Amino acid sequence: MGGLLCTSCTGNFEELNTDPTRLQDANPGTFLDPILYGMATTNWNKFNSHTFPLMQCKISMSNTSGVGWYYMSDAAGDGTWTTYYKWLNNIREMEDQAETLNEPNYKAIALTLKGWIYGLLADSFGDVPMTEACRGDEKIYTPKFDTQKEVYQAIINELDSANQLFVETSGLKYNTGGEMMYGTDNTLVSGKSAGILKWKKFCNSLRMRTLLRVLDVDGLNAKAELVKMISNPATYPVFQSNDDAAKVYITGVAPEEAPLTRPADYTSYICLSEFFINNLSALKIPAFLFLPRQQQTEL
Amino acid sequence: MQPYSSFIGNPFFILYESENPSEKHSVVSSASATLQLSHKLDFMIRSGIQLSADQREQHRPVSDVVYANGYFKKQNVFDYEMNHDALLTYHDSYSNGLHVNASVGGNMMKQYYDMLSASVTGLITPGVYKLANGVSDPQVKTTINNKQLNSLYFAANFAYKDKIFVDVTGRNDWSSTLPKENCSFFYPSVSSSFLINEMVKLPKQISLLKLRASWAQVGNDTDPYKTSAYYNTSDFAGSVEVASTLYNKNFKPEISTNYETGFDLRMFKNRIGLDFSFYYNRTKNQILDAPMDPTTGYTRATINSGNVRNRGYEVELNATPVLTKDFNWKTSLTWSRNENKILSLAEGADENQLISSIGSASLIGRVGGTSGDLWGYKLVRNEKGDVVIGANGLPERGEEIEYVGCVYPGWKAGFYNEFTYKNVKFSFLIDGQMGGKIYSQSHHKMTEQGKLKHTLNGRLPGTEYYIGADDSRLTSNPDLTQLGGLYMVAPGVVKNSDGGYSPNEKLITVESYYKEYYRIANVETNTFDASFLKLREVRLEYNLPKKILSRSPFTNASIAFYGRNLLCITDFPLFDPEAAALNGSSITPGIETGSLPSTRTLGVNINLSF
Repeated sequence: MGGLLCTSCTGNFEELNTDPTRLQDANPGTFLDPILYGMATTNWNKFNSHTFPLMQCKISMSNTSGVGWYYMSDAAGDGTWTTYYKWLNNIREMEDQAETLNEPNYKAIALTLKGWIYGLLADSFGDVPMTEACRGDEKIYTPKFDTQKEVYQAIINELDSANQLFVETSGLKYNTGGEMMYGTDNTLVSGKSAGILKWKKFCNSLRMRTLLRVLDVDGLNAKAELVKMISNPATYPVFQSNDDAAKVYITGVAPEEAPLTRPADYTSYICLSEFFINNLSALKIPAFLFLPRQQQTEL
Repeated sequence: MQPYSSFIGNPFFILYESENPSEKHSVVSSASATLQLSHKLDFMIRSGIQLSADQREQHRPVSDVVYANGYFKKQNVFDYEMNHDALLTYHDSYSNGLHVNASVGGNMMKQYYDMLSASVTGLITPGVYKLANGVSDPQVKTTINNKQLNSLYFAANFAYKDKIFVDVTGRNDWSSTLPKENCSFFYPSVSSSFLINEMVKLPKQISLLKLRASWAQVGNDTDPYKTSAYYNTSDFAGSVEVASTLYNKNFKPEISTNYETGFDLRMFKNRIGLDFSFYYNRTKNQILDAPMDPTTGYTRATINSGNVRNRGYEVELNATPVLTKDFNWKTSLTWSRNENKILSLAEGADENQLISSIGSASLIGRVGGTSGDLWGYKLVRNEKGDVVIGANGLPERGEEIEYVGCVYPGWKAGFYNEFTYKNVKFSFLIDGQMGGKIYSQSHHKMTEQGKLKHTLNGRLPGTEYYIGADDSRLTSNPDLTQLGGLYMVAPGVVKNSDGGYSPNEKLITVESYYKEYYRIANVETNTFDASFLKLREVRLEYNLPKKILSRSPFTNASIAFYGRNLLCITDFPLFDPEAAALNGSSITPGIETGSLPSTRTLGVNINLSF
């Protein structure tokens, strides 16, 4: 009697504890747009909070302890660190799905994006976890750090594999609306996908940039690889015009909103420097939305 | 944009345009039936449902501070809780003076929550709050939560000659939110009380002496869907993101064990009473979403955490100092203290376990510390305790976060008095707490914008930091604006090249001092003592005398005027220190980030019984 009661007690628990609104299965295409938009907005925000003031273009009016006054706190890199690994986890998921479903284009894109982000991580932080990273569901809770050189070697190798995986004669079948960077969908023009070719160019240009950074490092053989790539433009196509640029285009309307939407963030306690404005007018670059007014007080 | 503050919008908009209308319909109903099977045996069954449908909207006008082009959201929430229970009760009395009341029963509880919301960013026509008026496509979010808890329990009460009382209970719960192999948990309790004055001859001044002791366990489950992996729906069409909280297939239910003992002493025919309790409580396997190293790809993981102990005592002293035919005065004083300590952290956890963090303030648990230890950046000081000022004339920033204080109070007390004269009763309740620290983000924000009185120091002549226009430090430097109240010298010391310290002398603007000293990440300067004393309630009641009542259809009639939260004396700035912060769906004590103010209530109560 007690046993019967027990089984009826938990009878439909498994069904009850399954979320009816969230997906448990996905395909590699479903990860791509959030990764592209997420990385692009994070990097723009870092430009706005670090690069712009460091280069003495944007000046904080509220205090003299910020990045623009060369005050870098220990926590300055925290946001970058956490956000990059979050998107790397999404890329790993995309790569795993691409393997299972045998989709070489998606795998190649995943390897390209991985190479890009690990390059940024290694340049910002030096030694970073790579081989054991993003494996929390395999119970690896404290991934070991790989050396900067090992990371660079892995990037150089993976970008080469990616280049060989791209299949121009098929597009991205799970992104029928076109992904956010090159608009690649599953349509073909004269039997080829224009978007996949651009991804391939992005992959190889990125590899060249990576090799250039380690030209004189022993053991990475960068110079020879670079020569090989330059002398085989058919095998290693690279960027040829601004049309190939790796840029994420946004409409400005939700969900593709600009990284900063509050008017206060453009004007509170900040002003633009003389150096920046003078350079803009010297280069004859047209004025933008928020016209800066001359500040009266000097700091 | 408001000229006096870049963060606050137009007050007219805040009051009349940025509205959050909500309409809630709820139903509470239950039905029960009791069957008397024999004169000793009863059987009761009961079913009840609480159901509500809440329709909410969020309106933000064009040129709002956050949504420059306007925003509209519509959210429908439907939820219910249904309970069915059955109870079989047996009661008997025996000739030896033993009374027994025993029952056995079960309960099935089901909770369902369904939220569907749609929002548009940007309004085509200002002032029109409809989804059709959105510039963007509607962004839809949906959440459904399902939970079921089935229980079986028994309870037995034994009373022996009205001198000794013993209660025993046992309960087993099966929860749908726990992993299958751990979904069942059992928790018993035993409690007893002894009326010593009935068992032993005590001096006649003592009217009652009762001793109590109990041991009880309470089990707890958690929120649904933590046992498997899900993708989070993204705002982008046809897209998902990997969830940032790692699921756990194997976690266990939470169990709390409580020991309690105490006594109740009343003297002089209950004119004076003293009640004392001491308790000791340990919670094991608390289920929480603890932080993980971000390089694992996840920022949190659902785990069973370590062991937390709470122990404390409560004392209540009550008396009726004046008792006459027409007038009496009753008074009661209560005092309580709780000591919280973390005995161990989750297996494999760092020595610091982040419990929660909001903005720049965090609650960090360490073995030996409390679950309310507030951590954040502090000022840098030398060995003598002087604040160290940097080369730019502003206080230096600490490299790492440090322990700032404990959010839990040292003790709490209350004082209640009731005066009755014939048919009029007047009572008041004062209570308060001593100790506890709260970080105030509002204080930081208001200080940064110079809105608080303490920022007048340096701006007004006669204040300690004030430097006038005729000061030699200004007149000797023509590059500086020659105005009083603009510059000051930050109090503190600068580090010399020889490692020693000398007083700081660098001139800085008053504005930059306050912005730096009270910057958002400095938890030390923005944290205040949460001690308070409140006039919690005052009440004046008039009961209609029997002579008038006997000629009316009523058996009882009274009218009362009352006020609650009338007065609060505290050093905590801007808000009621009993403010808490909402952190997702949990309430985090000790961190205030613009909570809603608490309310003062004034009312009238009319009571009529037929």
